[in-house]
Order: sequence, then C-alpha cells, then structure tokens
Amino acid sequence: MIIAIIGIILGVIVGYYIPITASGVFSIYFSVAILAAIDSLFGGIRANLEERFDSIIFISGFFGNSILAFALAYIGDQLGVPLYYAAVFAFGTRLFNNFSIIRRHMLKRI
Amino acid sequence: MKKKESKITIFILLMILGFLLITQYKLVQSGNKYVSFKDIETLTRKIESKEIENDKLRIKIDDLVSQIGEYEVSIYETGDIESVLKIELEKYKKASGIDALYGPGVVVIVSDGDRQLLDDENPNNLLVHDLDIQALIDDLLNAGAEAIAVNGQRVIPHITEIICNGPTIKINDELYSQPFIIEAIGNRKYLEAAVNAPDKYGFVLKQWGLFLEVNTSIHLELPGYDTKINFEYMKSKEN
Repeated sequence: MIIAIIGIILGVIVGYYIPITASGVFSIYFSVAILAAIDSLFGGIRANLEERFDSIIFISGFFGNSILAFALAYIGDQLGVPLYYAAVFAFGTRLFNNFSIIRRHMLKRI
Repeated sequence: MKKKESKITIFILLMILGFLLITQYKLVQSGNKYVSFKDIETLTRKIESKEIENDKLRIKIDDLVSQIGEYEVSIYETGDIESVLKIELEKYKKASGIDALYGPGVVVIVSDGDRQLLDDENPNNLLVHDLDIQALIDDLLNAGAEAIAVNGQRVIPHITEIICNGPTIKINDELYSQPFIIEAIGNRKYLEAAVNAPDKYGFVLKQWGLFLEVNTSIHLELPGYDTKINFEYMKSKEN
C-alpha cells in the first residue's frame, strides 16, 4: 500500500517538473485514458485482497483499457458521436463496484 | 519473489498514472479547452478569409496614402491641387464615355442572312434583332472591351438603350437599319475571340446563317456619348 502511494507521488512530481504539456486537442482522450487506468488500479487492489492478483493481467488491463478508451474517444470524435461517454460510463460503474467490494473486504478484516 | 515482482509493477504503473494525472491537470489548468478537429478546420478557414480581407484593406490604404501623397506633392509644387484633379477628371470622363476616344480594337459587322429559308422556317431566324446586338456587346464587354460604339453611337452600360423598332433598331434615341457595325476598343485578340470562339454568341449567329464579320484594327475612333443624360429619380446621398 505504501509503495503504491510513493509511486503515485513520485509520478506526480516527475510529471510536474518535466515541461511536457499535451495539446488541448487531446484533453478528452487523456481524461478517459486516466479513468481507465484508475479503473484497472481498483481492479488490481480488489484482486490483491482476494489473493488472486496476477501482474500480467493487471498490466495488460492497465494499458489495454487506456488504449481502448483513447481509441473510442478518437473514433467518436471522427464520427461525431460522443463515444467516450461509453468509456466513462462503463469504467465509472465498475470503479464503484470494485470500490464497494474492496470496502467489504477491508471491513471484514477489521 | 512473486510478491516483490507485483509490487514493482504496481509501483511503476502508479507512477505512470500519477504522471498522466498531473499532465491532464496541467492541461486543464493552463486554460486550453477541448476543440474538435472540425472546429479547428472552420476556425482556420475563417482566419484565412479574414487575413485575405485584411490584405485587401491594406492595399486600399496604400492606394489612398499614395493619392494623398500626390495631392501633397501638387500643393508643394504649384500651391494647389488643380492639376491632379484635372488628371482625375480626365480619367472619369474616359470611364463615363462622354469623351471621344481612339485606340486599337475590332469592328464587327452584322446583317441579316441571305440563305434560303427551309420549309416552314420562321424568317426571324435570319434577322438581326436588338437582343443579338445586346448579346454581342455583352460578350465584348466580358472580354475586356473598354469602349463600344454601334453605328457611331457610343454605348454606355446602364444608359444606352438598344430597342427593337420593326426592321430598325433604336440606339441612343436614333434609328438604325442594318448593317450594324459594332466597334470596340480593347485587346484585339481577346475581342476577336469573344465573337468567333465556339459557343460565343457571334459564332452561334453565324451558325444560324446570319452575316457576321470581324475585323481587327489598330486605330479606331469612337465618338463620345452626346445625348443629354437626365437623371430624374437618382439623387446623390449626402456624406
């Protein structure tokens, strides 16, 4: 758990001091990709608590979901259909599901 | 071992997540807004058209500045701007068609056809009408004719009337019968082509069987418009 928090803080610091800014065009793609990544993260925590964590599945989910969300948003932009709503909706719902299961596990431990 | 490996992957992936988060945060905070590709395209086009407009206005400004410069030079040299205004007056006289002019151009001669009529053919097909003359004049104007006269009557667009009057045509209140001689000053090659080229009105008239001849000339003299011009309804706007 501590290593996760250190990781995220380190990432934020590195990102803050590296002078990279994405163009405004990609703002929406980035936001859905981040949502997908957070979703995988919660999935990973849940799997960890259930003691069936597999790093290959975790990594592939992390990148696969982000890329799929990115692609959906891009295709939707080209077709004039806001397809990124689908990604936001699906990942958002799963995020809350995973969180409720994590909560239960935590409460059981206490 | 497995535990340690998974910890490293979690560490690295969370670093990436933190990096993405802060990048997106910086993007949102910088005030950049999400704009779709379509909007970018339309805005680019808008900017381009505005820039073209600006260029045109800049050219206009340059023209006006050079005109002011001319006035100033004239005041400095002779004490008044009369000479400059005279040159301008000459220019507008030429444009209005009041002055007699000379220059290179073409002479178009049109008259009724002399072929035999087919059975039941309308004889109108072989006659020169006011519309034919009007169309020929339009073709010549489109090809860059600077001055046009028909049978010695100067044609001024919007003022000269060309009216059918039985076997004659009324131009500038004078009656003329055929042959109709259209003289036009301008680029000789262009004007000749404007009558003779396929699909032009003159070419079509020839196909019908009318008599039409185009000659170029290096020196044509056109009279000025000498009928009185009366404007009853038009009033100049103050300011």
